[in-house]
Amino acid sequence: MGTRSVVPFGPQHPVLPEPIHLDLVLEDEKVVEAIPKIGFVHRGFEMLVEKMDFNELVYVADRICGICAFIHSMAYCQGVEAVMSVEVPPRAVYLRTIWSELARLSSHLLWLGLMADAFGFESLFMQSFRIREKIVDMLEEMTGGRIILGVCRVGGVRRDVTNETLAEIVRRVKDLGAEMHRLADIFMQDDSVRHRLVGIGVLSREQAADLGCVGPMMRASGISRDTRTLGYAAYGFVDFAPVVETDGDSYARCSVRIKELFQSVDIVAQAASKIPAGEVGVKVSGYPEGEYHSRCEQPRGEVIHYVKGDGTRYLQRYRVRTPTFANVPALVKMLQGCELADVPVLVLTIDPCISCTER
Amino acid sequence: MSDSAIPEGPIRNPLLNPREAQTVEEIPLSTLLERVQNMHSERWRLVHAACTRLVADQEVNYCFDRDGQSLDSPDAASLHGMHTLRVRLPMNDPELPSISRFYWSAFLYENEMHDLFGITVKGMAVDFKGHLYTTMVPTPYVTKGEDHGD
Repeated sequence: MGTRSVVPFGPQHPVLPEPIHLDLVLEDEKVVEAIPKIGFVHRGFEMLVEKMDFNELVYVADRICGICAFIHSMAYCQGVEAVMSVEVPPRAVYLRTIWSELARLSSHLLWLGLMADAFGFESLFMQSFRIREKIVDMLEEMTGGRIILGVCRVGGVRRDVTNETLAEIVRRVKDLGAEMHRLADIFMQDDSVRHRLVGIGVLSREQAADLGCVGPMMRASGISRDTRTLGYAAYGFVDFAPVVETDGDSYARCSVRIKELFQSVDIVAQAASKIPAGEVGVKVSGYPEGEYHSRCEQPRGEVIHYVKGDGTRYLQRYRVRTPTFANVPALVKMLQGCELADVPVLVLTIDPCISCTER
Repeated sequence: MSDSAIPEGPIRNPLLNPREAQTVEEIPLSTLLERVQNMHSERWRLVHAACTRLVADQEVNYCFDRDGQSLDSPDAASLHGMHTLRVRLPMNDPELPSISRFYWSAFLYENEMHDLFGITVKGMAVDFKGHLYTTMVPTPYVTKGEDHGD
């Protein structure tokens, strides 16, 4: 056994946009143990249920994260709607589906850019962000918000979108598909990219299941599980299948996210073609009484919003389990045995969203 | 667990915005480990674990799913489902055995319960000893209301 040394990684690190700390125990250049620490910016907003009523809390849910904001607010609203037996109009759930997929596109493109930055491919980073900017522009045109959309509410959505606008959005998203193909070709075929990703951080199918992985982390290890197949919102009415890879390495995780880009484009087009006319919200009266675990598939995987009401305007408990929280144990296992130089890439392959996790 | 034993995911739900069947089973604390061991051997997935502060006591929920099967109908391929094991703990000196011997990834949930709710969890696979979260006051989720007088 060589001499062991401990190298602190984070919470401030060039590849980390948000703070997470790892104590890396090394033997020479090999990581033998990784001890994570989070909680540097823990906000404790779950306790805001004591001061904000269940309708106001939608604004808080929308601000849990700057990347997957919409899906957080949707998951929260679905939880309250389930407790209160609110029937959301069909047009609203289709709009939620479309915005969710645009948010997924935005998030995956952001991740691809950050990944390219992590292995030093600056022009690829810029191309990813250039395409993402167009997605964010579309969200702004439809909702008025680029990041925090603020369009979800208990009982529906706050804004409608005309069918003409939807048709135009679909046309532009499909056009972006061609640009994303060029981006995908580089990620999937460039030797320098493959050199940094293939065979790095392998997580077997069995490990992914035992460690409770979610999202692309799990699907890259061969498990075909996607919360969208539960059929929430309008996902029961669009045709798609979970994207699965079997190698379980960093390249497979990258591949899953890239294929999900095109899947999202397809889901947006399907939903826009099937969206019915009608109202986009219903009036909600009364207070929530009961409990429900609302689950949605965020870009990083399954998110849980647990709401429990006791018949008053304030919820008794609001709890969010984010996908990054579920994927941290797998990260700890993946880091064991890797080279120190691969740590930044491996941390990024779980697509960490610490602001979500520090809810 | 063999590869073939890992479930392949639920059947697509054909309803618009459906709700999952979710069951809650309150169990005595003394049976928690046995029940969790059974869930693990029956290949249930630990979805999450969380604590809720009530008026006189607190409850801890361990949520499981098995992708398309509910506990009420383990052989029927229902469309969705989640089962929660719930234990109640006193507000003063609450203590739990760790389930991380069965579900290793539970150590994060358990450290969170310790740091935010002041629950002593014995036998965690990774024990941060109160340093998972950096908080201004100890166990803020149970002491906050008292500190602020609301």
